[in-house]
Amino acid sequence: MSNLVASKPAVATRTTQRSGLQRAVRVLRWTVFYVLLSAGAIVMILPLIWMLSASLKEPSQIFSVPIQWVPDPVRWQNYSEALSTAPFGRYFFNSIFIGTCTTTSVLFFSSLAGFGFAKYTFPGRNVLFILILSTLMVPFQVIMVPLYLLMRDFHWLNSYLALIVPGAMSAFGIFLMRQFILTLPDELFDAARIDGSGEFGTFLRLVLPLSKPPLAALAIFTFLDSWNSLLWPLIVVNDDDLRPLSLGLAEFQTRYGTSYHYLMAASVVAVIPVILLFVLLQKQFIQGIVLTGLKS
Amino acid sequence: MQTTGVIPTTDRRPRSRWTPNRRRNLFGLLFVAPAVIFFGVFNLYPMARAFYVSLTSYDLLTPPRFIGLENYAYLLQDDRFRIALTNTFLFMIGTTVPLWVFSLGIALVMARQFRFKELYRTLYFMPVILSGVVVAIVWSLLYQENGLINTALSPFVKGTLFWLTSDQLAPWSIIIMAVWQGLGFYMVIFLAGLQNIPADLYAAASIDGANAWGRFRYITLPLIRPTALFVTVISLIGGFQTFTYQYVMTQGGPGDATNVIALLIYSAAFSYLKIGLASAMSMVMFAIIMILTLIQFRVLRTDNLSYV
Amino acid sequence: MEAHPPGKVNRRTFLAGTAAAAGGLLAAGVVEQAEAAGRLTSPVRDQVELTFWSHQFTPRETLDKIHIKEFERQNPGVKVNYTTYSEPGYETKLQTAMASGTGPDLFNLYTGVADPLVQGKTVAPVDPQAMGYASLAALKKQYLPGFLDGFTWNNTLYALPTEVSNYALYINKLHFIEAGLNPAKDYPRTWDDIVALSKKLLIVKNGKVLRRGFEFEYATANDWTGTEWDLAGMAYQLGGTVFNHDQTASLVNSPAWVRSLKVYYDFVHTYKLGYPAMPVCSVDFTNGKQGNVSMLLSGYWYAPSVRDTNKTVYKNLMTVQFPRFKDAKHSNGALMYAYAHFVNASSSATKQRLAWKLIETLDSHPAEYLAGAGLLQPRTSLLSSATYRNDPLIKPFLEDARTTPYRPSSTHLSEVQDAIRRAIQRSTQTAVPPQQSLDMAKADIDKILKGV
Repeated sequence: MSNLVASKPAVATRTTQRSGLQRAVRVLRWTVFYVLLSAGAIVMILPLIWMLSASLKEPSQIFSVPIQWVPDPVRWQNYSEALSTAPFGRYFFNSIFIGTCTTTSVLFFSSLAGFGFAKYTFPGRNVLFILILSTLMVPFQVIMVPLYLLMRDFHWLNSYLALIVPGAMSAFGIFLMRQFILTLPDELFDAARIDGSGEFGTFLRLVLPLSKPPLAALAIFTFLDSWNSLLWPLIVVNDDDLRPLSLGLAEFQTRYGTSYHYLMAASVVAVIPVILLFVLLQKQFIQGIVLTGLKS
Repeated sequence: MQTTGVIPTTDRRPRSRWTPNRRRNLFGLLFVAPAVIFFGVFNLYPMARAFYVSLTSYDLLTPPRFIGLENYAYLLQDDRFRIALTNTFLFMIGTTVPLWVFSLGIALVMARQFRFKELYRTLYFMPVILSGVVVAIVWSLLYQENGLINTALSPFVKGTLFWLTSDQLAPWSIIIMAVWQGLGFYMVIFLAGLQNIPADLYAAASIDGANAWGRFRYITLPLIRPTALFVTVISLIGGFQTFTYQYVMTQGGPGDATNVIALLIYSAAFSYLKIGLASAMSMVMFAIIMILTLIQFRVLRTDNLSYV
Repeated sequence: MEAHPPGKVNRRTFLAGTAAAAGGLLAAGVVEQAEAAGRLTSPVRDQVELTFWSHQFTPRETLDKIHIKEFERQNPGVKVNYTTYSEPGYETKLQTAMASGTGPDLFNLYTGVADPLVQGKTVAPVDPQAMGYASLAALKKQYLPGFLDGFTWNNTLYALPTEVSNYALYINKLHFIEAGLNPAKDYPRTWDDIVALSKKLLIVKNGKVLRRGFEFEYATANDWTGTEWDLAGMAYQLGGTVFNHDQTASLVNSPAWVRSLKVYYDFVHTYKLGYPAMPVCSVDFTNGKQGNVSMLLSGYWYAPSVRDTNKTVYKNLMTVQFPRFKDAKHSNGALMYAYAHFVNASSSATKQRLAWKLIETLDSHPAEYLAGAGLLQPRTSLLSSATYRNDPLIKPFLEDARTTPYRPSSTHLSEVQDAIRRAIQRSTQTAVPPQQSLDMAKADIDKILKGV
C-alpha cells in the first residue's frame, strides 16, 4: 500500500526544480489532510472527554451553555460519593473473575478441539466440525430462553456457574485454532511422536506454545466479549454481589439516572482500566483483529 | 505409545483393530469430545427446546400447554412484531452501510505512511473497547436538550432537536452512536485486508497510467472482497441482535420507534412471561438470519481470487 | 522432549490436564459454594435466613431496616437479607424469580401485577396465627373495613397492604406568590385552570425555560409508572374505563379517553407549556433552590422526599385534589393502587411462619410509615394517630380516595399498562393525534386480552 505514496517522490524530485508553488500546494494538501483526520479523531474522542469533564462537575453545571470544558469547581467527591452508593469494587471483581474463568476455559478447550479437528482423522470429524461451526449462525436470542430454563433446571440461577459455564467454549475459538493449527507442519508432530511424547503431551508442549498469536487474539476477544455482555447477566442474576460491571452500571443508571455527575463518575471508573489495558496492549489487540479478519 | 516402525512379530497378542494409527486418532475424538458435548448441551439442545416451546403457551408458573402453530399465527398479524422487525432491519442496514463506507475510507487513509499514524489509529479505535452500556449512557446525556450535540449544532439548526424522544430521530440517534463505536473495529479489519494486496499491483497500474480512483476501483475494491464479505456478514448479524443500546437508552420508545427484535423477545419472555411466544419470535429471527447469510454468500461469493 | 513410558501415563496426563482445565469451571462452583456457605456462617446453630425483596424507595427502606433490626433482636437465630430493586425492572425480576423457583421468602409488590403469581399458586395465604392473632377475623379487625378486599383472590386473603395510594396535586406556594397569585384562592380545580395557571407561572429567559407551571409524566424510558393511571383517572371522570365489563375488550379509545389524552397533547403541542423530552425526575420541586416546576401530580409519599431534600420548598408545599373536568360525570382522582407484602409458598414452613411474623412487625407501625415515608397503611390504629389527623398535606388524598376506584385487576396488567404508556409516548413525544394513538392502544390491548 505504500505504493500510493511511492509515486510522490518521483513527482517531488521534478518539482524541486520548479517553483515554490508546487511545494506550497503539497503543504496545503498535507495540512488539509491532517485537519480532516484530526477532526475525525476529535469526533471519536470527544464523548470520552465530555464524560471525564462532566464527572468532575456540579450537577447544575453539566448542561450549562456555553460548555465549560474545565470544571470549576472541580468536584472530586463525585467519585467517592458515586462509588459508595453501589459496590463497584465488587462489580469489577465479578467482571474480572467471570472474564478470566471464561477466557481460560475457552482458550484451553478451543485449542484442544482445534487440535483434534486439525491433526487427527476420525469418523464423523467433518460433520462434527460443521455442526459446531453452524452454532455461530444461531443468534443468542434463540437459545436465550431455553438456556435460562436449563439454568433453572440445574439450579444454577443466580450463581457464578450460570454466568460462566454457558460461555465456557466458543465455536469461533475452535474455528480460529483449527485454522491456525492446520498451518503447523505435520513433520513437527511426527517428530514429537518419535521422541515419545504422548498425544496430550504434544498438545501441551508443542501446540500451545506455538499457538501464542491466535491464543492471544482469542483471549482478548473472549475477555472483551465477557466484559461487555449485558443481556445474559440481566436474565440470570438477581443478587447485587453477583452483578458484573455492565449490569451494575445499567442498574446504577436506572436508580440514579438523573444524578448525572455520579453516573459519569461511575462510567469513568468503568472505562479507565479498559483504556489503560488497551493502551498497553495495543499491538496485540489490533494484531488479534487482523488475524481473525485474515483467517475468516 | 510406540508408533515407529514395525511391531515385533514376537508380540503374541492377536492383531487388534486398534492399530497405532487408530489409537492415535481416537485421541482426536477425545480432544473434541468436551466441545461436542458442550455444544450439544448448551446450544443444540436449547435450540430444539426453543422449537418445542414455540409450539406451546408457557408462562413459567404453570406447565406448558401445547397449542401448535398459534404463536406463529399470532406473530403473522402482530403489528408490534412487524414494527420490531422493521426497526431491526433499519438498524442493521443503517449501521452497516455507513460503517462499510467510513471504515474503508479511514482504512485507506491509515494504510498510507504519515507522521503520528499510530496515534491516530489508536484514537479512532478507542470507542471499540468501551462497554456498550457506557457508550449508551454517555450518549444519552450528549443527546439531551441542552447536551453537547444540540449545543454544537445550535448555530446551524433552528429549534431544538429531540434526539431520543422523537420517533423520527430516535432510531437514527442510536444508529449514529453505533457507527461511532464500530468504526475503529472495521477500520482495522479493512486495514488487514488492504495489507494483503501486493504493492506491485499498484505500481504496475500507476505505470499503466491509472489514477488514484482507477487504482481503487480496479485493484482495491475487487481484492478486498473477502474482507468486505466478512465485514458485511458480521455487521449485519451483529446488528440484527442489537439489544444493549436500545435497552439502556430508550427501552424501545418512544412508542415502538426503537423497539428491536431482541428487546421484544426479552420483554415478551421476562416482562410478560410469554415464553412460548418469545420462542416463536426467536425461531423467526433464526430463519431470517439463515436466509440473510445464504443470500450474502451468494451475492458476494468470491472464488478464485488469487493475486500472487 | 523427554521420553515417556508408553500407554498409561499419557492417559493419566490427559485426564489430569483436562481436570486442571475444568478447574477453571470448578473454580466458579467452589466460589459459589463458599459464597453460599459464607452467607449462612454464624456462631448460632439453626440459623435461618429470610430473603426479603422490595422496590426501591429510600424513606420506606430506612424504616424497614429499623424494624428488621428489631425483629432480628426479638428472634435470635434469624437473619433477614433485605434487598431493594429499582422500578421499572423490579416487577420483572420478581416475576421471573418466582416463576423459576428462585424467588425471595417474602416481598413487597404492587398488587396490580400480582395476579399471575396468585393464580400460579406461588404465594401463600395469610397466616394469622404466625402473626400472633387468634384468628383471621381478629387480624381483619386491625384493618379499616373494606380495604382488605383488594388483597383477596378467590375469597382468600393472600397479602397485607403496605400502602394504599393515589395521586393528588402538589403546589409550590412560593411560586404562586411570586407570580402574584394567592395559593389559597387561586389553586386549580379543573384541567383548564392548570393550563391557565401554567401560562402565568412559566418563566423563560434568553430562550431557555427556567420554570414551568406544571408537568405531566410523559413515560420516558426509566420513568416510574403512574401516568397511565392519571390518564385513566381523567377518563373515568368522563365515564371511560380501561376494559369492558367482562374484560374481553378494551375501551381505551372511547371519547372520554381521547379527550383526556388530548389534555396531555394540547399541553405539549398546542400550548407549548410542557416538555416531554425531560425525564420526570429532573423537573422537580427539589431541583435547584426552589425547584423548577410549580405544580406536580404525585403520591402522598412524595412529601417526605421533598422534606428530606429541600426544606424550603417543603415548608411552602400545599396539596389539593386531583384536577377535575368541568363537566365530569364522576368526581374522582387518579386511580388508586396498593402495594402489599406477600409470602413465597415454596419456602419452608418455618420460613413462611417467620415471614408472616416479620410482616406483622413491619406493618404494625402505620403512623411511623405515614409520617416518615408518606405511605398510608389502612390500619384502624392509624385513624387515631396525630399525623393522620394533623397533617394538612394528606387531606386531599383522603378526600379523593373516598370516591376513586382502584386500578383494574388483570393477569396481563403489566402488558396493558405498557400499551397505555406507549399511547401516551406517541401523543406527547411524537405528536400522534390522541384518537389515533388510542386506537392503536385499543388494538394492542384487545390482542393482549385474547392472549396466546
